[in-house]
Amino acid sequence: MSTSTSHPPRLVCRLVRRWAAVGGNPEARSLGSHHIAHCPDCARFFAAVQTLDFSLKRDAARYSAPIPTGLEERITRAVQRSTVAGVPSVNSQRSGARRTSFAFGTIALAGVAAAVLAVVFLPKPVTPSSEVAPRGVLVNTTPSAGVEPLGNRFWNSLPSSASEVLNRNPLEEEAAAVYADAQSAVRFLAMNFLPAAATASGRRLSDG
Amino acid sequence: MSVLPRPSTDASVADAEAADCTEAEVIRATLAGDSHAFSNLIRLHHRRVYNFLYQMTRQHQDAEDLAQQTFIKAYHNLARFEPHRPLINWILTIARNTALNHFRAAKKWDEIPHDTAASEPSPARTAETRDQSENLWGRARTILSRREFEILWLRFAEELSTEETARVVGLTETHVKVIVFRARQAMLKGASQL
Repeated sequence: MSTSTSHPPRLVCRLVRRWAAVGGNPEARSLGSHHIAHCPDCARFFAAVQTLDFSLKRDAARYSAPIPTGLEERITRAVQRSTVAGVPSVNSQRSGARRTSFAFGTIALAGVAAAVLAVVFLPKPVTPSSEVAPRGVLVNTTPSAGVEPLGNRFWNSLPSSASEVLNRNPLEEEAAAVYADAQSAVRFLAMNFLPAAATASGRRLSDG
Repeated sequence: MSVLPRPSTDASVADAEAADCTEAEVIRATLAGDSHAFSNLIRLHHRRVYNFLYQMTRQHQDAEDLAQQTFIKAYHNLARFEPHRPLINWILTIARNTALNHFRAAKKWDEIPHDTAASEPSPARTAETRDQSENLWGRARTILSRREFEILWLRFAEELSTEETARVVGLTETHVKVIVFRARQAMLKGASQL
């Protein structure tokens, strides 16, 4: 079975042997066949490969492991137990999984739809408690006697800062703040730079 | 569906055809819900499956446990079997994957080294080699990597085609051919050094 080891195979021989192992296009195949037919080293190599293949097949039976006694019965019992122990059988495994996934999907979809409907269509209560009416409110509801609608409960749960923002006038507040700052500045200047008579008149301005 | 090799004599051909019909009928009966029908398939293939798993694990108990798991999985997934493939090849694919999962779970085995030869053999392995020097497969186990040995076993011991071997191990046909080529070279080189 041994091949010639007196010298390493030539490059063309290595290429041809590798090509023969993995296959190639028809043109390369014809060139390789021509080389094999005329190269003694390659002829010995391929003869050794054939012998090796035959020996491997022959020795496989002797190398096989002895089959334990009763193996077939134990395997059969294990398969039968798997069908009894609640593991899905061949027929119901796929259809059962499909039914279960469909049910869960439907329930999840229904829950999402209910949540969307509750958020979108619940009415928003309006409580006109300030002098300036809030803008942008589309729905006006009045709660029935003794029963607070679900929508009122939902909107009443919003943070109080939100309703306060809706009720006050920010521009008016800003103007009042600027006026107060200006008054303070004038008073300061009058107290520090004006004569005593002018300072007294500045005090009267602040009182008025 | 081709399951058993077809011998040359007429009587044996008739037996093989009968076996083909039997296996097809058994598969149909099993899919119809008859768990006892599957026992015929176990009778046909349990030896080859056990032997293959023993070659991978080298442990009798592990090979038997994995063989049981393999047939359980085959039974519960028989609907996925492609009828144009030989049934034994499909079962061997399941067996191989079951063994790999077992090794990963037990953390006994790194990923199969890609086309690398075995490292220096241990003294125990050297002794095993001496005992099995007359058997090529014993020598192959010490010379070749796990992947090379596995593919060589499928090709020459199980006598699967290159295409079927590639399907079982999850590689391309070209890759399998290259591995077989390198394994042969390593075996021939090892034989010349004896």
